[in-house]
Amino acid sequence: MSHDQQLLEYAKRSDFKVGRAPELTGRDRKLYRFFEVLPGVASWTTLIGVVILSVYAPFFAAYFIIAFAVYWVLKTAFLSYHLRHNWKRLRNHLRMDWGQMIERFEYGHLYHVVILPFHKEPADVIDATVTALSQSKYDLKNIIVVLATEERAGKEAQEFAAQMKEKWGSIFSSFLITTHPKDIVGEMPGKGSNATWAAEQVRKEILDVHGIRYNHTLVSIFDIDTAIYPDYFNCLVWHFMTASRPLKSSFQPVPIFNNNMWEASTLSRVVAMSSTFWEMVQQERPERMATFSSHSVSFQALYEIGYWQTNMVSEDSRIYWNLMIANNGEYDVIPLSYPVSMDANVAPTFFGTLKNIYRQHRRWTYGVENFVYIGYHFTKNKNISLKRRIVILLQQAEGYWSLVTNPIMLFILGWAPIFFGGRVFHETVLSYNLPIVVRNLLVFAMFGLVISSFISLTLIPPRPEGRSRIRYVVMAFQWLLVPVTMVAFSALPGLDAQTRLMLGKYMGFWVTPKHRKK
Amino acid sequence: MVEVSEIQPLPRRRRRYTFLFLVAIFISSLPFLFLYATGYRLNLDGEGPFVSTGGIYISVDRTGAEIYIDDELVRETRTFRTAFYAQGLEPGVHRVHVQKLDHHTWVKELPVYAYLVTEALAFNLPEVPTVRIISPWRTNTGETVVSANPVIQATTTSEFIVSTRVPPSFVADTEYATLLQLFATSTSTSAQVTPIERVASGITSFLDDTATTTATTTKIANGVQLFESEGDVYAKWIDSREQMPYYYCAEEFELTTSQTPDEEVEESYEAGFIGPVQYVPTDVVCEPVIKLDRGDEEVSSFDFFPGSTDLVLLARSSGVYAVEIDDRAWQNVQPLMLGAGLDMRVENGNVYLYDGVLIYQVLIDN
Repeated sequence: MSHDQQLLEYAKRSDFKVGRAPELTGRDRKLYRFFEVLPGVASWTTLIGVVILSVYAPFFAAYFIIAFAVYWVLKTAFLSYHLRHNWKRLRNHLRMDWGQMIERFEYGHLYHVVILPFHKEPADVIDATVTALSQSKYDLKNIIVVLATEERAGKEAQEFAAQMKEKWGSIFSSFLITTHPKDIVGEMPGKGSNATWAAEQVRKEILDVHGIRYNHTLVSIFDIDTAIYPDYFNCLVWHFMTASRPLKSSFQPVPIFNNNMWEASTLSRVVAMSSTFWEMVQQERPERMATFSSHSVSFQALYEIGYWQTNMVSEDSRIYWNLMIANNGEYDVIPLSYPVSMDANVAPTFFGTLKNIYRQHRRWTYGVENFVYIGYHFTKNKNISLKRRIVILLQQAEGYWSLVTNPIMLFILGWAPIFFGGRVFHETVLSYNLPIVVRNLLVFAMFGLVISSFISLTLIPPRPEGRSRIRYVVMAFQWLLVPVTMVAFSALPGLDAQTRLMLGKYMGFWVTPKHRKK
Repeated sequence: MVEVSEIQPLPRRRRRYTFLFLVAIFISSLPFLFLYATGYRLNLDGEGPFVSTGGIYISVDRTGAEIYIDDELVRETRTFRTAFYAQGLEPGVHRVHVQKLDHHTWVKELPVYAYLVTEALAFNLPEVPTVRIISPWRTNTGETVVSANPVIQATTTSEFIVSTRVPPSFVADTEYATLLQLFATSTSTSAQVTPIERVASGITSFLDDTATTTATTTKIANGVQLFESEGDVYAKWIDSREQMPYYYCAEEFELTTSQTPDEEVEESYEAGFIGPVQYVPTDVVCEPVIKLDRGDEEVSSFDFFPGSTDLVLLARSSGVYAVEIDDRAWQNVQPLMLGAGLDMRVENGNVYLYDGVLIYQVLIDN
């Protein structure tokens, strides 16, 4: 963007949208690199430290592991408390008549731009997404749909987009097809660069042309498989109208990966629902939230920072940190506690699904690059209070550290003192009791899974014809796989991502293949 | 009308109180868990809130056995559950016995020390072993031919016929000839005729033959060396002390503190950390050599019990016995098969006995 008059003061900095250390020079580069190395070093130090501690100080390691298991039980209880509360709220929100709720507001001037970044996803996925939009209880004449295609996706994608416009174009206020050019210098192919291109196109071609004010426009950036529930825009408007600073807020729905829940494998369901649960927990503690996946934000806010970053992977969360830092900390995420449905990972083969889950989660956990960004800019932007900077940084650090280390420490390294503790330790009561105490604590923690199991059953779509009722039983007991999924699809991809960042082997954007079984 | 409170997230204050409540649980529960894991138990009998305890870990080599500690049944072993960990035992000597119907009973008195776990491996051999007879001859249809009914105290899985003659229709059993090579050294001084010749000549008694060869072989497996010296058989640990089984130098594990358990707890509290209050010396000055109980009988051969370096087979004058190396309190000795003059070899995990005429493969299962 050459015209940057509209940008907030801090957003005008040349390093505001830094993606990785090599884009900087001098001390800034070293500082950024330091933050890139930090998460990987912390995680590896912890994991190796537990092993070393088990060898040289097995008694201390054993007490540490017991304390850690207690911490885990209590953390599970704490998170379950949040989850249960959000589940109640979410169900309540689904029952509420949001159309009636917003009648007291004057909202006719608000427009919704729905950006659907699209690469080569199957036609039925996109069709389902637009169909859900068309069934919204909101006035469709106030909804602008942008099908953001990629030039690199080829002619076929363009033709398909044209077909979609022909089919749906007359229903909405506008149906714009944008084509993100390939090979723009400095850009990484991915959702962020595509969305930024689309946002600028919609500004030029629709908002400016029709005189629609930016502060009257809400942008919903949806993954292509996002199917909204009918009251989404009503719910969004209610929260927008009641927010203390609506133009300085992002609005986060709960992504429920249940579009294809009946087709997904057991592992895929557990991983997908675990991600949903994490977002539900976060909805109850918005001060720790960043935007994730599909969400909404005012066009004005986006315009003031030049839209999404085009040079990094996890743009869905980075946009919040861009906005928060550019606004000197005066920016919020408002949880909607209202769902949007998305796809769980399904590939034609089981191992293909496992591979996709791993790669998707590695991409998600590569969100640790946001910690680097925050750390770096928190040393620059002194307009944010020191206390807030420290608290946020520590919260983020703890999040990325625990994501990687906790499952491995609990389910694998918890036994390290027994294996490495040596003869002296092995003959003690402590050595024998360690696995018993840890096992009992983990069993206790598993009660949290009962809550998870129950809640998950209430979030799955109705059983399609031809599917056995026994599947419900499988879905109830699938949560026993959580220890496996936590290690295989959370800790390991997270460690993979942090290690890559630590070594400077930066990741590119990997598009999760969308596949629905016929 | 919908209440706004129904739409809002959890109030921060409630979350903070919940958090603080859980922190309080964390802080208050840790000392108790540490004490429990270390071996302390609540003392309801008076003196002091806690008493220090130890444990016993018993492994059993077969399923269907009953484990008793101080005459109280604590576990019946079954698949995947062939061991038992008894915790919360008062320091002192505890009697453990493991029994199974139609099997020899294993009994041991074991010392229990505070904060430590005493390990033991129990074994129960069948009272009547099962053997497969391998003779020099067999019929065309594969039946084993013996010159007389074997008088061994065992059941056999072999189909055999008794014949004092060797008709031309009998064929030599090649397995027998192969196995006989194993016993070649021990028979050299005792028999001047070959076993085949003995059978062919109608010798019916095989119990009067004695193996006189003195065992001089050294056996080594998994860090344990078996050797003979002046008629006795010894087991010696020759690998790293870190890997040394619990019963070598066992008597030297001792507590360094003379404090009462209550004093120890109090001191640990003051230190702010319940650490390992026991001390097991890492530089144990002892010779890890254990003499095996041979019951004042001469030993003609010895070897490790198949699949174990805790048990040793001794071919003694009165039969073949399994002896545990563990000499705490005493060594359990159980007959594998009784019979004078039996020689014994262990080959490829199988135990073969030789009485000078026939070879018996002792079938060992759980």
